[in-house]
Amino acid sequence: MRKGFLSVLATVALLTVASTAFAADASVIATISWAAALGMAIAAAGCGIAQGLAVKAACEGTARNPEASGKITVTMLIGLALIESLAIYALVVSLILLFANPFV
Amino acid sequence: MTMYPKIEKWLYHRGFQVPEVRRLAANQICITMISILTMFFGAAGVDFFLGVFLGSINFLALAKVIQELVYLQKGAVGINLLSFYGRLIFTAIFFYVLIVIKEASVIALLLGVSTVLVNILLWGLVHCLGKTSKEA
Repeated sequence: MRKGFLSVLATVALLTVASTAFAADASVIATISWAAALGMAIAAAGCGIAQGLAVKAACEGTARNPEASGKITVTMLIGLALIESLAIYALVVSLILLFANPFV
Repeated sequence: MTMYPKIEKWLYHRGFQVPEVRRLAANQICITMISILTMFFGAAGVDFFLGVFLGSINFLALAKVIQELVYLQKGAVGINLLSFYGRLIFTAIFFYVLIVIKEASVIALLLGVSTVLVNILLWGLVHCLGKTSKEA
């Protein structure tokens, strides 16, 4: 099942990328689009996992020791803000790559 | 009565009931108010202010949602989630309009957004220094 899924995924990826090999200008645009999409996807995935872990830990901590919820909330807020800023930076970089690329 | 206690009072009435979170939010609002002055330094200054404004809105909304979800445990979950995702969509659209349509200076925008990180780092630094001096 897993092998089949990976094969289908690889085929789709190859078919998508293959079109870029036949056009010079189009290949640049396609590569940039891929870079922006992959960058945003990785950033979103990483930030999602990190925020989920942070909230999970905070909920567990609050459940075990409700009196410490104030401190836990502050720490979690700071952590989430730092994590989310990374996603915002990734969004900005993706937008720059797509629409305001200085090298194209 | 100076400005800072007024901001804290306003934040308290807006649902920021954890003192440390309220202080952080008040600091961020102060930074936003101070950054209005940069608008007089041309287009890059305006972009910087817009970055600060966007970062502040994001930070304040995040702080409010987290408090309601974890600490205060009140309010409908659906509304909180809606506001959370609404904020993200608003941020994305705002950035798109600024970078693509208005062709704003990206460096100024990022510097503006980074004021949130500076605020947090300064707060952490002061917090750590305060703890060290108490322990000593």
